Amino acid sequence: MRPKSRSASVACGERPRLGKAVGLGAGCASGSAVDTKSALKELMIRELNLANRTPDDIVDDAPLFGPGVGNGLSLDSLDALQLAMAIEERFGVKIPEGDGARSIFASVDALAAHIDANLPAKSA
Amino acid sequence: MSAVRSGVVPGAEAGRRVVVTGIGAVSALGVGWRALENGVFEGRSGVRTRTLFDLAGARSTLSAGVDDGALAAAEPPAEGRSRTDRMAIAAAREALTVAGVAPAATRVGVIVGGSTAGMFETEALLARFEGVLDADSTTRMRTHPLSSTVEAIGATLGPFSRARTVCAACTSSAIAIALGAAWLDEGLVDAVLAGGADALCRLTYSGFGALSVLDPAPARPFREGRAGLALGEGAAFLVLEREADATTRGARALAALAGAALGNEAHHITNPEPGGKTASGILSRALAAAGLEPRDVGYVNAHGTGTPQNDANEALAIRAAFGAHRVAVSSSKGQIGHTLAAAGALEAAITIAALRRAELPPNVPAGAKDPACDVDLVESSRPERIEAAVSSSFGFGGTGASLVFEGAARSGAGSDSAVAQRARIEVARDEVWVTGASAIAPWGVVVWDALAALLDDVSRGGAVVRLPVTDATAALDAARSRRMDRAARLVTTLAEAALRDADGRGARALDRASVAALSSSAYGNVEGCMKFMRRVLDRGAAFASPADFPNLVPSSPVSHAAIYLGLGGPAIATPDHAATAEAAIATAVELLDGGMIDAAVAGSFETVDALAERVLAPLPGVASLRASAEGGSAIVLERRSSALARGAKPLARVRLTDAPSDARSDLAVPVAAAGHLGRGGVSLAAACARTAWRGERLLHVGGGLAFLFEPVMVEG
Repeated sequence: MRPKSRSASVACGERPRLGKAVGLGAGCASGSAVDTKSALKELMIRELNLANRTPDDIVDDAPLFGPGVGNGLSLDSLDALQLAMAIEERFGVKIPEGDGARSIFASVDALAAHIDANLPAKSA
Repeated sequence: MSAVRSGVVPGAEAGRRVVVTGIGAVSALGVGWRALENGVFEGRSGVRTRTLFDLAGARSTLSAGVDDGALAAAEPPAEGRSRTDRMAIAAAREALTVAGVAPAATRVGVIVGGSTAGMFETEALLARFEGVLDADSTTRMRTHPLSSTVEAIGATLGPFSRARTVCAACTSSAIAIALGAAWLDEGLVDAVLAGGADALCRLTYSGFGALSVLDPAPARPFREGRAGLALGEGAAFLVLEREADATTRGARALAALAGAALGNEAHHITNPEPGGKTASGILSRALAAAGLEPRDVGYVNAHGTGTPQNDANEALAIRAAFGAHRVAVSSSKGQIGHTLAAAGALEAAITIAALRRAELPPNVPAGAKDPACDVDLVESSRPERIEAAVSSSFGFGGTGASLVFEGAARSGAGSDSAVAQRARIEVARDEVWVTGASAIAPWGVVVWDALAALLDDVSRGGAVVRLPVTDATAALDAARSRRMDRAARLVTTLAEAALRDADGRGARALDRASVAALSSSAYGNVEGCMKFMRRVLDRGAAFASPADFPNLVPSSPVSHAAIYLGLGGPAIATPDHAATAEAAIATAVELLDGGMIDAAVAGSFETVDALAERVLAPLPGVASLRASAEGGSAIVLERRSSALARGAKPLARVRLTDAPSDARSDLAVPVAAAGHLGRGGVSLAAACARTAWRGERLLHVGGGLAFLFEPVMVEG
């Protein structure tokens, strides 16, 4: 299993501060993408009823969909619908339906990147 | 495989053939069978702007709603009557009138397929309920149970000698019709009113929207670019009789029900099985049951919802079942919408009209056909003399039903070779044996030998080993059961334990592909509906929870069990206040005796939720409880021939019997031991166990049904 990603290249200023959007007020050192990912993983466990999983079990770059893929979660189209709804509710970010969603749902990394790139602008 | 026999509707012998003598319908095309027929064949659509309710965040503005004025004229609003009830009463009344059948004068049964019942009237109050019911809410809640519709029909049009409610998602009323034929064949009734009803409601509308299968444009079955279904509402009933009886009383037969087959993909709770293999098998078995070849069939009325997945897979299924014969196909759902539990009966009515008019119904709306749907669509209605036609329905969980209708005249049905080949299908009057039993009660999960002993202990006031019920379902595989709610976990655990018990009693295991599953709770997933609707009303339909919606259908728990255990027979819920297990087991015996299924695991269950119990308080079953507990039961039923073939020793032989109205069960589980509405089922399981253990003959009564368990001596 790959060590948890804590890449310094995801630097402050490259993306909107997640802290502002979700009220975390976290300092830049924690990295907005990492906050998104952990919020996303907790959301996945809750919404998809992955009762026997912890956030640490969910590998950032593993394929999410498709049966029996390595350390993936083997999610299906019903999970995709549930996730899309929950992500829109939690982050205010829409996930397009149909084929456009495929690359976004590829992995936790891909989903988090889409979320961070599309967070709604907050008024000051 | 013994399943070749399932799907047979006996009565191929002269006089015992099942005929349709009455039809009644309410739909978006109007009130009455004539309105439905005219609308369908004239190519009109009832899909229009939704007016029954507003719904913030909805994915569509369209629905196929019944005109309020027309409905009010046919069946005025009344206190304690839901919209579903009113449509059902109107359709049932018409069917009985057309048939000239008077329930008071003869033994008439009634079977209602449903999925929403009074949900339109109760969904808002469920969403907002915080513990106290006012007078208006109390009245509304009385229309909530799925069984309230059959009661409304009984109160208005009865008395009926036998009554049942069935839910199998969108195949509910098709299954009601098949069950009605079984009742006739077994001489349980002299006529039967069989069909279904479902009104529109915000819950189903937002649920299908959340699953992204609601088309914002008018639904276009089998067309290129289709994007989902149009939700509709309606009701339809057929009056079925044995042909000899209809002839004797001079009734006109409108059509014959030549055959039927029921089955289950058991693949996924919402998605159809890619390739349509099971669906194709159901079609083929229905034709075989009717003694017909594919070329004898002139028309298929498809399920055809207009979703990309259904139509493509169904087209494959039709092609596979009909082979070289390019049968004409159309779906009526572009005109009447998807009417959920009423669909099977409404579309059967349309199929019968096609036979009678010698005219094929069109596939509306027009448009380019999806090349992936390689079937011959009827583009506009055209005259064509057809000898036989099929109506197919599918639903959540993979439930499937195909009904085969023929013209009422016996002669000229199909080619000479088809007539010659038509098998005189005889279903041997095999006994029904119980070969496994399980129960979950405050003492945990038990199978028959422990159950019999424990009950003796309990009735003597002895100590009982108590296992926490929360542990009872822990053995399920976490990954494969993650979509299950508590109810589904209970049913699956019960079914698995009973089936393992049945396996162990024989040299060979029961073939899971041949097993039907029948189980439900009395009042459905009330806590799930409350939670789902609270979100819809608080946050808008856009945030309805897709994964939670399928679990709101009363047949969802038994469907989950079928998927988990690979059970290929129909998955049916039979809610009936406190006689839910009795209804399930009776239905299983009736379907077994009718040759419609080969084996079944049947029982009931109840879950506990404090808020749900408070909102259900006005209902009779709930009011009589002093304390409630979770639990349930399941028994395995198979034919004697099947049990002998796999070397299985039974617990008991079971028969449905008549019992005097003051009869009491020989063995009743004390309320304290299994204090829930499903305790009848626990008594039933216990009776089987006791019969085997002590060789006792035991009677159980409940819900107007009586069961006799007798010991069986088996060599070796």
